[in-house]
Amino acid sequence: MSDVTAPEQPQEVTPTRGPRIRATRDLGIVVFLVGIFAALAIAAPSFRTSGNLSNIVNQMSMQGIAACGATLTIVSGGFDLSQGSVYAFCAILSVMLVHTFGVLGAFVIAVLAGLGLGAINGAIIALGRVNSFIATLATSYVFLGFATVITQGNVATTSNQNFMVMNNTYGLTVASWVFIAIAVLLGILLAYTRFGRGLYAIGGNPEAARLSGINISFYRIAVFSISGACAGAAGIIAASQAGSADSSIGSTLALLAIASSVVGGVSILGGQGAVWRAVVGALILELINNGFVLLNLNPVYEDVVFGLLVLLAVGMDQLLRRRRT
Amino acid sequence: MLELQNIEKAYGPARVLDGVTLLARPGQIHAVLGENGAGKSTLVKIAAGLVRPDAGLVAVNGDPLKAFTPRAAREAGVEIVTQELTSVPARTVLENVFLGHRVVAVGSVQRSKHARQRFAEVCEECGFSLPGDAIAADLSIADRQILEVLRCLIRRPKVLILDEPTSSLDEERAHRLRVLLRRLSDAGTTVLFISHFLNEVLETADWVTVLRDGRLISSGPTEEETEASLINKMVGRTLSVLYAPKTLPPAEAETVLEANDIWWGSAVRGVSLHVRRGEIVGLAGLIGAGRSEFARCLVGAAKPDRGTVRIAGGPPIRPRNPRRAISAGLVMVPEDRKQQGLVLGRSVAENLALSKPQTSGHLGFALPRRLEDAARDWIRRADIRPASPAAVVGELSGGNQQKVLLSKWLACGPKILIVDEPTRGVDVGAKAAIHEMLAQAAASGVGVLLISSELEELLGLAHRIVVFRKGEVVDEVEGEASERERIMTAAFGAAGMGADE
Repeated sequence: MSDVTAPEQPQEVTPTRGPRIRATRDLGIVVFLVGIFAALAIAAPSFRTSGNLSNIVNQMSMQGIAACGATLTIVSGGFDLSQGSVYAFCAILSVMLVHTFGVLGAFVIAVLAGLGLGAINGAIIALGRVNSFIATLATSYVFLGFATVITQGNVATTSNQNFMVMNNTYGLTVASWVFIAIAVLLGILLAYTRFGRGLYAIGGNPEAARLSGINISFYRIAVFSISGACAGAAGIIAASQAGSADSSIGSTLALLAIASSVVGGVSILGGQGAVWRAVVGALILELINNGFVLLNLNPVYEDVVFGLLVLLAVGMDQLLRRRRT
Repeated sequence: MLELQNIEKAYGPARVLDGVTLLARPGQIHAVLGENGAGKSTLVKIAAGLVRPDAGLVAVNGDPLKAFTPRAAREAGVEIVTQELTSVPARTVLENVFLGHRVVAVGSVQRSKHARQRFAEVCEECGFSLPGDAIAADLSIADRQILEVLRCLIRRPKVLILDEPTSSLDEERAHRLRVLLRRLSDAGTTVLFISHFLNEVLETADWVTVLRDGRLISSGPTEEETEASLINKMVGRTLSVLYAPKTLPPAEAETVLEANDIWWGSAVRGVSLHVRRGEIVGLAGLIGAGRSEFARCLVGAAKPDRGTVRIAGGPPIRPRNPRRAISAGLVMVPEDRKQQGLVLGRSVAENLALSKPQTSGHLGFALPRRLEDAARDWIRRADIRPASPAAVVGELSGGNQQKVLLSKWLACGPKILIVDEPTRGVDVGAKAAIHEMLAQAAASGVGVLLISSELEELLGLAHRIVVFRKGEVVDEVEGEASERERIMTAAFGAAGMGADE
């Protein structure tokens, strides 16, 4: 590093490209959503009915809640693959406990169980220094095993009519309102609090975060607990809407939650993203699902479209990152 | 024969090599010398095809390299042992030695008789031997260094380049390596090596080239040089940024940082020092002398094996994590702003607020607008450009990134500020601004510990300079320009002065 090379001009920064790219990136996915929405509205008259629209929100509430939780973990630089198992476990738990503790008691205990399972994930990852992908892959089998054990492989059912409260409708179903409430709460937590800024920092540069005095272990445990609680809440909705639960119900949830976040524009590399993106991503996937039904398309192609969409989203993320250097 | 002609290389605004020409003849042991950052390592990496120069020519025995790739250089007969160990830790010695070699096309290297025989021959010839079946990761650092050398020799290179080959070897093995280099050169190999040990250069090399600030200073037979003449050439007289006169801290200023007998592995060996209020203490030394490791121990980024730190008159503590140090008023601007300092994908405002929880109220709730308002003040004070709190830090120039990083820590209101290489790779304007910020911080009563590999910077800013060598404090001098050579002598460990153990 020399003093002698002095007379060079101090390098001028050219900030123009960055913000423009970010703006495109911010809006791109929303434009895409509006596009799908408009296309469906034109192509399928039944799409526009308020019944169908509220049905969409109701349908997506479970994966939407899971995706909001997943977004927090992904932003902090981790993955939670155990959400599906936690979901099934909590669903079963709520069904089995409703006789003893009543509806509210069963729900509260089930969410706390989800939180606890998430905390176990977080502790393994933070204190045991295990990669989150592997740790939650392993615990997903363990948790699913627990779920199978407590039902002994059967479907848990209840005849308590009050248990199916999530189907009640106040404009939207209770399940939808729960989803909206969780999305808003987590959205505020991530965007406007010190905790949220800490998550971005840990995901963006863990060493810098550590040297800045951020307690990384605490954050990791907290974020996986939240993810577990979200999966638990989603599981309760599933159980409540069906009046029953078995250990197979969550098999696709964890990956669907990650896919929703990524399609919405949350970066899988961590440090970038927002809860509203997960909601948009989940909505897009749900609209595609809805479109296939309404337009009478052959559902065998649905997974192909899903997959291509995820690829497109990840490709965009990589491209934008590379340009920024 | 290795020829390098008019090699130029710049990383962003920092010019590393500026038209360097070097000629190493067959049978010659050619040493390359220079201060930290003089461009030595970059130069030899270019010769081995690891780095592509911006301009210039590399030729082996008169034939220019076809491309600046490791493969092209290797085909031309150039082999290099870099400073970074490049063996594959999980594989065996044999597999590492024959990595990328064509001896065994199909099947296990481990079972190839031919490979084993060839390996045994090379071990025999060079006088070093390693167990062929040992896993590389299980070897000591010294043995891994030997492994790198064996890996080069297996290909019978025409040109062998070694970047600080003896720095991790004990005296006995270092001696054997020097004997080996002599034997290779007698057999006609061109040997080019970088070393920080002047006595080693004088004893081993036939020819010595000195670089300074990316330029060729001299190239001539070793007989004509002495330790003093070499140091003189390395240091030279550089035109520099102007430094304002230093404000001395008042004589009664109390001690704000006291480190007592800090040990960390083999990198930091019993270092004690103190910093007073308003004082700038510089840490001089070569790269790898343990200065950064020492600083990391002070703030608890690394946990020292032994020793205590007293912060701002508090009780002596063994640092454990950065959180405790920060709340006591001790902060560190780390060496590598991209890896350790900044969250590159986030905004200036967020980065500024990262280590300063008090910017926001209860529960840390804060609208981005409020963070941005808080950031505007620092953007103005440090003249960060573009002057936008929402700008993404990764899109700023190196100098502005460094200003953000420094501001982030000054915003915590520290009592002691440690800065590690604060102006590495930044342009001249930003450099002056950063110096100004450091001087101001000291003038306002902050104790500053400044680590820099640039002697000019230390002399220009520090009131007192502590010299490190091999993890120990070897000298302490006033921050006067006249001490330049004494510092270099102590840092290089030249005979006579300095090494007063």
